[in-house]
Amino acid sequence: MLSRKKTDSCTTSFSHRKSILLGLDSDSIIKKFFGSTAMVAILVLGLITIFLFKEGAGFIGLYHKSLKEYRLSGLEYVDILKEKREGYASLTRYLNDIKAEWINALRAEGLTQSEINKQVMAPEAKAFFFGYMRAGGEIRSFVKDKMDLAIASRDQHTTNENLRETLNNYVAQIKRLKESALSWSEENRNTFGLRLREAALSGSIGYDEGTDMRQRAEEVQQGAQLNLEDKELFIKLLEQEYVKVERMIQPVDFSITVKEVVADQEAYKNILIRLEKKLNDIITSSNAITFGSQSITDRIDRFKDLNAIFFNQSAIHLETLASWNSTKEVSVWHAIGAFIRGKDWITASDQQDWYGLLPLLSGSLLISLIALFFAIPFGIGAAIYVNQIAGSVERNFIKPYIEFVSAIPSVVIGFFGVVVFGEAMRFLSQSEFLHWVPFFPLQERLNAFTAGCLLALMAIPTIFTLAEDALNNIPHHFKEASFAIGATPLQTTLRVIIPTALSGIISAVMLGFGRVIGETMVVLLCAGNRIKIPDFTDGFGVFFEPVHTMTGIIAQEMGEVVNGSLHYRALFMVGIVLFFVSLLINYSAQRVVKKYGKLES
Amino acid sequence: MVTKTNSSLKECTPIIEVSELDFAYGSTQALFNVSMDIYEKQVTAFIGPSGCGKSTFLRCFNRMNDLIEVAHTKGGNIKINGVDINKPDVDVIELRKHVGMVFQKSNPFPKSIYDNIAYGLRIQGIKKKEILDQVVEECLRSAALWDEVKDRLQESALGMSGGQQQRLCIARALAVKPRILLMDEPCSALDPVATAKVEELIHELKKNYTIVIVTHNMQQAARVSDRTAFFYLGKLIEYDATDTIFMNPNNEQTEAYVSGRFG
Repeated sequence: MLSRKKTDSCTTSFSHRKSILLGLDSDSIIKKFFGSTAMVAILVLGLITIFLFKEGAGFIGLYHKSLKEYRLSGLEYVDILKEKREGYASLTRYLNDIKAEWINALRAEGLTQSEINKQVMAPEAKAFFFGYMRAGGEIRSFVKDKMDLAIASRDQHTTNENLRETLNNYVAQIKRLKESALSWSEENRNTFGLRLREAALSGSIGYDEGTDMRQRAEEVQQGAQLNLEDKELFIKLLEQEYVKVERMIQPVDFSITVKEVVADQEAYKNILIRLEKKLNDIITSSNAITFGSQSITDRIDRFKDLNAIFFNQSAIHLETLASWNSTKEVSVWHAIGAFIRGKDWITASDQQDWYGLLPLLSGSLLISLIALFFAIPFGIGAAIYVNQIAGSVERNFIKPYIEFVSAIPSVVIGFFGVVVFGEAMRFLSQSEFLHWVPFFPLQERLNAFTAGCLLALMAIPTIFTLAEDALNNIPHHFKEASFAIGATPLQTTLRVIIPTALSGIISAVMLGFGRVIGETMVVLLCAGNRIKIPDFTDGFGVFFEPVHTMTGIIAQEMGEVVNGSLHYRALFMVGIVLFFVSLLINYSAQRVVKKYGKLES
Repeated sequence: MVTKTNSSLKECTPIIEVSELDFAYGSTQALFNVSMDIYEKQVTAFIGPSGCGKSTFLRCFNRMNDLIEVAHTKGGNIKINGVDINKPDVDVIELRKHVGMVFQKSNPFPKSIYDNIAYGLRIQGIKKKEILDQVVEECLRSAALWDEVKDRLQESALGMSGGQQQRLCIARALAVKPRILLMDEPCSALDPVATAKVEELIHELKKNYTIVIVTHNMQQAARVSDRTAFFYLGKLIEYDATDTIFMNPNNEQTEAYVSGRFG
């Protein structure tokens, strides 16, 4: 009855719906609610992106400054020197390897330890192996001296900058104090108390009336009223401190220290010539040694070649040193290039920090490659099986089961990888019957392969689910049409269903890739975390090298960096790169679906 | 109840012989004790209201119902060329090459026009381009489509009009050289002009193929078919020469249906 009455009243005037809240009816309230949740989501995502870019943006400037100092201080020059020294050092290592191999060969022949010693420690052999190593004392000390010079000036420069910052703080504090009233902040009260005690110990300064400073400090910290004398004294104390710190600054003139670093090029040249002569003499005298086996003689020959090459490059090396100039401009592009093309990631170094993307990017991509290599066939294969071949009983078992895998927390998978999979791989690689595999036995239990396999496990559900959806979306009539012509189920699947679903399958793979490259926990636990570009010349062995990843380094180092430092911003830059990689992957997945996904006519 | 022949039609050899067929989806029976002969190189139309089992019956001839898990034959048999097609030793793939099918909704593959027709041959392992070219042209000519598409054979079939797509599906079905062509409401999604073209095509094809067509459109059945079977609630009510069914039906229900009083 009541409702009848209501409608009656409405029939004459098509009145607006009844408002519930603030003049809004229920429909518009619901609309506003969903609209606002969407807005909040977009806003939060936007803020995150802005934050990411804001924190990362400072990196280029800071890195540019750091690289400028690297050149001005002469550290760059020293690094060129070090290259030569390192070349010599690696030659010595090579020679040591040969020696170890020689000893092993002798042992394999069945000689006793003393017999081996007799051969290896024979005067001519000793002169060769030890002589080669010891000949480089001169070059080592030369490089070290230059390095110390450069590091000292750079360190002093860094110290000065920090001290200047402290001075600025004092100036600001004094200024604030002079302007403020007598009621002080709690922080100032504490600082003042401390300064009073310090001053009481040194006794250089005090109250005009001779108040006991220690006693006054006690009173101040217990909340005594601060008076004009206190304020004057505080300012005096701060000014005293300022002078003290100012005195600690010892200005560094890079141009002077660099002159010292760059000097003695003629002497260095002579050192190299002497070293070459000495080493050549040692090598010539080594011809008297008989190594027995052919393979070791071959390696010795190879070593001789390497030695010759090393000294052939001396001329270029010296030229590079001569043409090096500390005042040469370091462009911003150089800094950007040093990040993008940088091969090293060295932090908290006493010489120069390097933030190079390549080792991390290549590690991430290598692991993703391995993961996709396994995840694509398994994920898509399972999807095809479940969608096209399996009966309903199998389907109802397999599908939820695979999807369940994605519910396993990644840290658990990583843990499994470290404890079970990594161990099992190493155990397998060490067993005799698998020694024919070229890269076995494995050096490292945790490597790109371990991480890749486990990531594959995580990517399979993603690829499976999306590929299965894509197959499911193929209209049933394509299948019927194919069957009606006399195609077998296999032919139908391979020639009609898969080609039709290909766009969906490709986007499934792309999103699986996105999942893999953004995964953190598993790679942090299982990839081995060695920051080095994998050695791609090593053939398949490259897959078994420990690597580090972009996600892993952020997770590992973000906790311990100084807020706002170069290192901190470098990690944000890596985050930005990761952001763009993911964006690119997702965008191209969408493009693929849009472009080739039009099934219906 | 079932009258088999009528004097006005010339007697031909039956190519499909159905006797006492019972067919069910799970526990729901869809066809009850259907017996009929379908004659070679004639057009046989199945008419009847929705859900009367005519499509199900049609799909028994090439065993498309196998795709539905719960569907099964409960009794009776279907012989094509004298062979019981439900016997376990019958190769269903071979059967379907023999009995082609065109569906209600045109369903060309998302491939080129050429590839759509060549598909049936390629799955049989025929790769020679000369043979493929020849068969594609032959089939497109048979489907009266050649002149319209000969310049765009490599374009996607999905770019064609609805009527063209349906004729392409007919051409595709012809590529594997079937003897029987099943058509499940082939014109229900087409406009009158396209429908006329398909009907014309059916007339042409009758010379070489046996055609069984399911249709909702009684005028169409009257226009294209030689014989017509009327189904109602899973039972074959009447089967006779088309003229007889439409002019002088024996059964009251048939009469009521064709005159538009129900259905």
